[in-house]
Amino acid sequence: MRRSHVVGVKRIYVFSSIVISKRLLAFLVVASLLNLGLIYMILFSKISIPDLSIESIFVLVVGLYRILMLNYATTVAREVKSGEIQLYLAHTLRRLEYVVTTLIAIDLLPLVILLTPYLAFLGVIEPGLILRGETINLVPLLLVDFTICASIYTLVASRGRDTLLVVIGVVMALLSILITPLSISMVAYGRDISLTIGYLGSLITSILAPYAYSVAYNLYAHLPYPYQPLNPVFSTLPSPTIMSIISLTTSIFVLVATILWFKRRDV
Amino acid sequence: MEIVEFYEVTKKYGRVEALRNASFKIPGKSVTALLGPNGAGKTTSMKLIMGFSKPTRGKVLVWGLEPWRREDLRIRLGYLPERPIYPLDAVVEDLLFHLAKLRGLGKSEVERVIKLTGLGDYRESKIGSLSRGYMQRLGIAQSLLGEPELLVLDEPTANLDPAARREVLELLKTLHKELNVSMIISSHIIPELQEIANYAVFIDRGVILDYGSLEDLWRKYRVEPLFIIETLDPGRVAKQLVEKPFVNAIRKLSPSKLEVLIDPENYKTFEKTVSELGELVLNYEFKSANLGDLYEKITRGRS
Ligand SMILES: Nc1ncnc2c1ncn2[C@@H]1O[C@H](COP(=O)(O)OP(=O)(O)OP(=O)(O)O)[C@@H](O)[C@H]1O
Ligand SMILES: [Mg+2]
Repeated sequence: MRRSHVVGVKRIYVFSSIVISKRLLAFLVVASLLNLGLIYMILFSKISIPDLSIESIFVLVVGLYRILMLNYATTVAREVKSGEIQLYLAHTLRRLEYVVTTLIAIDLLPLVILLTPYLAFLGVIEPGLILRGETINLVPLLLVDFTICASIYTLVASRGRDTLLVVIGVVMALLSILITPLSISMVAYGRDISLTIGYLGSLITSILAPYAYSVAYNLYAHLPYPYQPLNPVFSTLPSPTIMSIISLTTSIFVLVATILWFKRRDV
Repeated sequence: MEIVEFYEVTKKYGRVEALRNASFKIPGKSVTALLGPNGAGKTTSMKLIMGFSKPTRGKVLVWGLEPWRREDLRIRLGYLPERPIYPLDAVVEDLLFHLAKLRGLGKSEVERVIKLTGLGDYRESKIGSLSRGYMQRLGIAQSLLGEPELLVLDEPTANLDPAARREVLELLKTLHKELNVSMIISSHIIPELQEIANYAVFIDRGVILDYGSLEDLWRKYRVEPLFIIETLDPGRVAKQLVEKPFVNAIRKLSPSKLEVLIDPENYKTFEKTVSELGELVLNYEFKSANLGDLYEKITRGRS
């Protein structure tokens, strides 16, 4: 028998297509609804709150994505918990391939949602226009954001902890929607203890919610004139670009740890 | 050649020792009964064979390789899990097709296993709607995907009513005959695998009590083997045999059939004697002695 060290790309493809085919329709429906909602929000906000940028709206959307990403993650957690995973392993899926498929499938829902508007316009609008558009440059940062979330979900799911996973999902969503903007505002204007807490919070959220961090950071860093001056310490916050690289590295680290640990785990 | 070897295997779950210094071997082309009461360590042993878990100490080898390191071994194995772990909302043939695809196989393989296990009428049923007996058939069907060389079947008859139990055992017997595949079958009901097994591993509370081919075990524990002899002249055959010191009892079953109980030590001598009778004997077959008796003797010898 030939010993194969190669990851079965084909098996990953087969297994992910099985997993995804079961929920593709649901994905597309959710994607369409969310995109409609988004368009509505953007139109509405332009009328009532002129300053609210599309980036800030996306912070809310990312929080929502984080909840939606729980959908497949909890399925995996239950598969591990119930032993259904044995069925797939018995039919030659390797442990590494199972983890990689989990990550792909968790990441896929937000990706579909994110990319459907572009895909919808493809062929209608000239591609160059899409690439120069206002939102496309948010995509890389959003990908980093999805990946840190998905890798943490994969870690918890591969341990079969479905309840813990939901708790973590809610925390991850709150980090993005609430805790990040709050922490940064505390760094900008807080005093004493609230400044310290805000600073710590910012460092944590810069890794765990890189998108929200980037948006909130830039909001304060580029405040126009009549606003109150920021705390000097604000300028010592790490730049969102650096933090998103660190976030991506953390994702990879979490994933490698998950795989190493999962390879030794009893299923 | 051995297909499965355990060398002083200990498996702990926290503080529970599910297996303690377990050593045994299973040869190829055998049907092995893995027998022991609830909590004996049968499922634990099977998961070790499948590479689903890693021994705490000792070595598990399957075809000479360590299954928990060598994930590629699983392509040669088929597995029936103890509990039905199938996605209940899936349709029978869809699940089989998905699992076949993982093995790089197509629809025709699904057709083959559906036919072998008699699932034809239920191919489009939701798995959750299957009766226990048919759920077990589905389990056996999926274990056959890809024509594995060794089937690891964890309590295939558990939780079935007597009729369904019979059916599953008959199915396994037929499969063994038709596919000539090696099997390891676990059960906590000791005598039920009597007709199908030719090898046994006895286990209790994580300890291997004994193992070996049933023939050897009959002899070792002096469980009287039983032969059925077919002859045109039962009277003459009986007369010849009754003189032998190793023949314990002879009973006439029908005008042409004799049942002969012999001394387990002299199994081979008996076979020789029978062949010396030549034309007189039309046919003879070994009818296994009772596995239950054997189990009783093995456990009694222990305590
Ligand atoms: N995942 C686990 N965590 C903790 N203990 C376990 C685990 N799996 C098995 N055990 C314990 O190990 C021992 C052996 O269990 P195992 O399932 O192998 O027995 P078994 O022979 O298959 O029994 P049964 O006939 O009930 O299926 C039992 O005491 C059981 O409680
Ligand atoms: Mg068991």
